[in-house]
Amino acid sequence: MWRCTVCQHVDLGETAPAQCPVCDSPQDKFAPYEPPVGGTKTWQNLKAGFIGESQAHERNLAFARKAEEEGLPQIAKLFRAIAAAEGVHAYNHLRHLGLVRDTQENLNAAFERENLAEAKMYPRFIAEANQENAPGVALSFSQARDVEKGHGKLYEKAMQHMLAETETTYYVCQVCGYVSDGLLPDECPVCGARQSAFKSID
Amino acid sequence: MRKMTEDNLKGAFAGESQAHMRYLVFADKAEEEGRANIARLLRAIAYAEQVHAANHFNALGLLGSTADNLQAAVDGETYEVEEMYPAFNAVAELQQEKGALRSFHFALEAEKIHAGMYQKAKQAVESGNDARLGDVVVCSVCGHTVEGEAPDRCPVCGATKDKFRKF
Repeated sequence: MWRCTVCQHVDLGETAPAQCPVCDSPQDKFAPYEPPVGGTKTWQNLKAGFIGESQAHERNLAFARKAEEEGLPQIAKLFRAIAAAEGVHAYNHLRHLGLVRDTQENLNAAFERENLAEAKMYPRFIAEANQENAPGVALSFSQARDVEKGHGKLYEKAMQHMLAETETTYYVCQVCGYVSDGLLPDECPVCGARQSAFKSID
Repeated sequence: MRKMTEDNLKGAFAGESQAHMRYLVFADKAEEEGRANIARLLRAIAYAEQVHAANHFNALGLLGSTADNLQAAVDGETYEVEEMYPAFNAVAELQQEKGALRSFHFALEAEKIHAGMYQKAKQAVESGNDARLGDVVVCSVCGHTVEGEAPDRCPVCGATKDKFRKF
């Protein structure tokens, strides 16, 4: 990663870019980027900033769908635009934390996150939801857990086949997030949603 | 809803929101490296995490009418503008972390504009109308948000006009 010493833009490439994509400074203005030391206040704040912006992004997208439902397309557009802006902020904070590496390492990080969610986080959340007599929430957590397990497998496959990439289309269930590789299912194997609930990702 | 389940839903919402964002960033990186299929996988899973985040958010009962949602959005921006980013900025200044300062500065400047836009939209909804809004453009470098045409140069980060994304 490289830092433009003129405008502080952080570039993710292996080598410094020929020209800063933001301020047009030449290559010799770039220096290797060193993220703040883990655990310092600034590091913690970047992390908190990343969490806050990610949540705001998600919340705005939910608000946009609601505005669309209420027949307010202009407000929906505003929510989507600002969601994108919060996404840019989240991206910047994550970059400055030094947490965007090359794709091999990114896939590893993603795989570990899915494992943690599937094996640790959701099982505890499901047990506690049952304990507190919230069966709807427990079901939602358990669908998410099953789906994360599938994601872990997809990442694993991607890591194994990174060099021999094959073309495929992914279909995502908009009810529970189940991802199908190459095949549009008749109904979702996790939540039972109909085929029309799937969205293809190109 | 009881406390432990509510806290868990909040934790799950935070986790899925972060996963969604991280995977989108990872997808950009894979695209840059010329790995189009990996990029597509990352975008597919990012979208799935967005579905989870939205489910948890709904289960928390945080999705109100659009007028309520706009108020919640104004409150969120106000907190970030008046408390969160100024505090983060002060620490980064003290620790001489220039990169972090830049990242916080970009966010703070945009959030100020967002709060105003939400406020205006809320007034329209409360008088029974949709907002009157032209194109909204967002700078992909710093998140600066403008109603109307993209400027030649972003006034916050200096990025050129082609860096703006239209909504």
